[in-house]
Amino acid sequence: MAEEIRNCRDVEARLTPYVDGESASDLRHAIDAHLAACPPCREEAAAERGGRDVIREHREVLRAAAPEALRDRCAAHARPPMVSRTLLRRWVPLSLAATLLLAAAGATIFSITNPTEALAAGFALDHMKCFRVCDTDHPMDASAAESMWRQVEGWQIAVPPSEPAERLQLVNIRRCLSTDGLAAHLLYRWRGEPLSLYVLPRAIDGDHVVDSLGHETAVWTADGRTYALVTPGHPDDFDSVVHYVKTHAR
Amino acid sequence: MAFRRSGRPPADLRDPGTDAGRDPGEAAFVREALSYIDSLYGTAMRLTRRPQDAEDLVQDTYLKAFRAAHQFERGTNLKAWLFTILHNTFRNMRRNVGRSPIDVDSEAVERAADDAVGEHTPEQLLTRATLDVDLQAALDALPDAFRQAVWLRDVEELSYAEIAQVLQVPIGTVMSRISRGRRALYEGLQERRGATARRLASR
Repeated sequence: MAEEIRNCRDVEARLTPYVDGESASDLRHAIDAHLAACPPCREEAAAERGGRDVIREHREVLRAAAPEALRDRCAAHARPPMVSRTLLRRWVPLSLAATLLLAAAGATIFSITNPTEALAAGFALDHMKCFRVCDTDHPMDASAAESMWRQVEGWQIAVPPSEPAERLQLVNIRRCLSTDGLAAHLLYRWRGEPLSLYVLPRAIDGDHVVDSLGHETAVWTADGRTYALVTPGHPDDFDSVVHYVKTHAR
Repeated sequence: MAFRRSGRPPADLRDPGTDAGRDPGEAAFVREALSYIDSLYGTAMRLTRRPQDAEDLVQDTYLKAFRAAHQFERGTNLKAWLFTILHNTFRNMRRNVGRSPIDVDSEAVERAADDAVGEHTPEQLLTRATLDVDLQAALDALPDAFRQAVWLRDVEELSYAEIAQVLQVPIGTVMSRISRGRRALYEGLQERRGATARRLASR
């Protein structure tokens, strides 16, 4: 049985499929009849059709093409890791894809109930992801990174500068999406290995060193912020770089 | 405090090694998913207004999509599924960042509109050139909820039901947002064109 059009409200509720040509024919006839007799509704229908048509005509202008580099980075997420394969194999005998799957199921497989462990696992995954997809070939100036962060993200961080004595070099900075866009992620090379420092603008309890997914992760809190330092494996002199970063990150 | 893996992982979680051993269905899934990258990027630009954020959002969408590929129901619309992940990720991002990029962009649009007035003849302005700028501005001026619904319908051509899934609202709400969005856009555009014509006439 056809839907009844008794008043203007009935028309308004069915206007979009009508304008899109997706109404059943008897409903369409009923709306046609109402519009013929009702100038305000006719005007509404004309406005909706006008808005619809103008967007559809200019669809191509409104669209944007994804940059080539983004295409490559996204495609890389579908493949087993190509870069640092030996490194990953040494510490994590699983592909990134499998590791991510483990992390998704992590709460049950590893019984991650502790928030610090969950946080460390998130950072370890983000660390692996970012070193695969970000530019880490060029040194970056710490004060430039600080001012860029302040301008773009609107809050201040202290970026520990590169330190030749530690063989520590800053190579990139980005917003970490793994904490829902909350943390700053500083990417370093430390003695040739990738090392990440995360700065989270909120505090969690206590200081911890956690072995998460084959990555040594030091987590600490200072001045209302949480810091995490992540590097693969179990380096003997991790303490020295933790100390350096703790001193320069506040 | 430390937790360590014990024993071997189950067979299906082990390193898949090379592409050679992969499920051909998976390769097709990846190929199809990547074919929507321009749509996802364009939508991400419309949502975030900043190329870097749009790229991050798209990259995160693909990472999640590939990770959750087993949850995708074959035979349903992959494009709509990817849009759902994109919008969910965007909602989480924005909830946590607590800062709207929209103010920044409306200024940019104003500037672009002023620039356009300087660079084109009045005839061009009133025909093609301004329409694009005015349309961008009118679209950006819509409330987010209306703009997202209109965009998914008229630019990305999703069905009402798919849009309801992406935006996580009832289908009736989707239609009413599309309707109000289109009408507001049309009216905004009329006003902008009137204003541009007046500005040109007063020169």
